[in-house]
Amino acid sequence: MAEDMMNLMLISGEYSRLHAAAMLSAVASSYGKTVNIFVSMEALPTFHKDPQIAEASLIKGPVAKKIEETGGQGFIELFQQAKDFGEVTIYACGLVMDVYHWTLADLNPIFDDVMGVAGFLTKAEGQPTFTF
Amino acid sequence: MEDVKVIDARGSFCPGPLMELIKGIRQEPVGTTFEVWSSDAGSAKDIPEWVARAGHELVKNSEDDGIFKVQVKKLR
Repeated sequence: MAEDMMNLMLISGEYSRLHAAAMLSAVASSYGKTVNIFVSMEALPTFHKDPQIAEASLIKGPVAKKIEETGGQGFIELFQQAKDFGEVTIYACGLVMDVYHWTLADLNPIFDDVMGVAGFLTKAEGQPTFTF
Repeated sequence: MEDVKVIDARGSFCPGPLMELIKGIRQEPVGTTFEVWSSDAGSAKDIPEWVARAGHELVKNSEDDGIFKVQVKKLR
């Protein structure tokens, strides 16, 4: 049912958007909500295993820098916690994977699968969906 | 006197204290009471919201010399 599912599209490489999405995912999954996350466009490289690629893709504003300075949890750690708390599935966008010739082995292991936009739309149809 | 499990999240910012509480609640049996210590005022407001939504009991929410102490009983 709609109230038990939430879908997120991560598009931006801005740290603040990724962090906000990660916080929402962790709390929603702790309530028992199923969370589907589709990571596409500039957001996907920020999850690359190579820290140089990931860091170069991240856009950090003053708040993001402050979070880092204060030793707060990073967004990937929060997404991992979200998965530990409940049913959270994270998909890498097939388009971005193809243009970079990446496989799931190139990304942080929090990803479950590669998916196209049609597949995500089918999952998200009729359910609340938020874009970051 | 009921045993209270203290979660010392002082120095951690939102949502850190809440994340620590959620981890604790997942690990302990129903009936366990937790007390989250937080130096973060936002968490003292946000944790009760989570507690209500998640179906647990807010036992106490107080401030002592800049440290917020939120006591929560696991109900399910």
